[in-house]
Amino acid sequence: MTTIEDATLREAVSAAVEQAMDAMFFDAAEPACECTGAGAADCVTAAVRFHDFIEGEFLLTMPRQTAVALAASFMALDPEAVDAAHSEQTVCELANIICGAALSRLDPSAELRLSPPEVVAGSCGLMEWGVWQHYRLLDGCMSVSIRLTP
Amino acid sequence: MAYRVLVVDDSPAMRGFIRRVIALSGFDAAECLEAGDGAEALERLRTETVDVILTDINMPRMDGEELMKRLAADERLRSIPTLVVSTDSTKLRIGRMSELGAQGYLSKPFSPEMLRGKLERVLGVSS
Repeated sequence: MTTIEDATLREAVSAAVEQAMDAMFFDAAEPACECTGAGAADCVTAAVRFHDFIEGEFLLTMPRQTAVALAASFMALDPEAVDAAHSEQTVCELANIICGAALSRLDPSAELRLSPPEVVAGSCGLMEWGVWQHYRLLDGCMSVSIRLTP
Repeated sequence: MAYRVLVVDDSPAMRGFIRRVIALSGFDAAECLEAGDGAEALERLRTETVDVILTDINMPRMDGEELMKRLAADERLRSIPTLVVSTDSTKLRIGRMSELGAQGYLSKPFSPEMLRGKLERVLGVSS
């Protein structure tokens, strides 16, 4: 199993967040100190597990309002037409993209296996889970965290 | 010439996004058909004719690798150019999909311009 410094991991995630938001969501993700509402009762959270050259879990969470705005932008829908499924699919897809891009950056020559992204129910208390990176978006904010299995 | 495109991805959000960026990019698409996995793609290809296939890799029921193998084994379908669209941009995966017959590989995240460029390259057309 590869050993990776936390700082290297966070840099890879940060670069992947900025690249994904710019290219596919036409949004500029700016690092922020916090994301109010992420990991709270009315938020949308997705998890992606990965294994092979490194093993662990990636989490992405955002307030539901932000998820609705992102889904509307991603799927070219009127925000009023966005339902819970649209929001969850979009957050899952974003988690998948960021996780895959970050891990591919860490070792492009390695094998990469990602589990299908899943919506995490009951996200309250999630922010205790590990080190989080927060981002300000055009219509809200989001938080991401990556944890390697020891 | 306007092209018929088949988008194969288990995420409805991603399929919607690809349809949108194909239109945004200015690529000349006559129609975008959709399938949720490899099995559904093969089912659609029994009755539909397409000019190019865009496929994800990780999908339930039948993944992108199996779809590529089935396409290669089918005399009628093997000549359809295939572009793989995936979050996995590792060299091993890109090499494996190329060996299975993929003409192009596009790693997520990608911009509309990148998608158009790859589509035109696998179709052998210049903008």
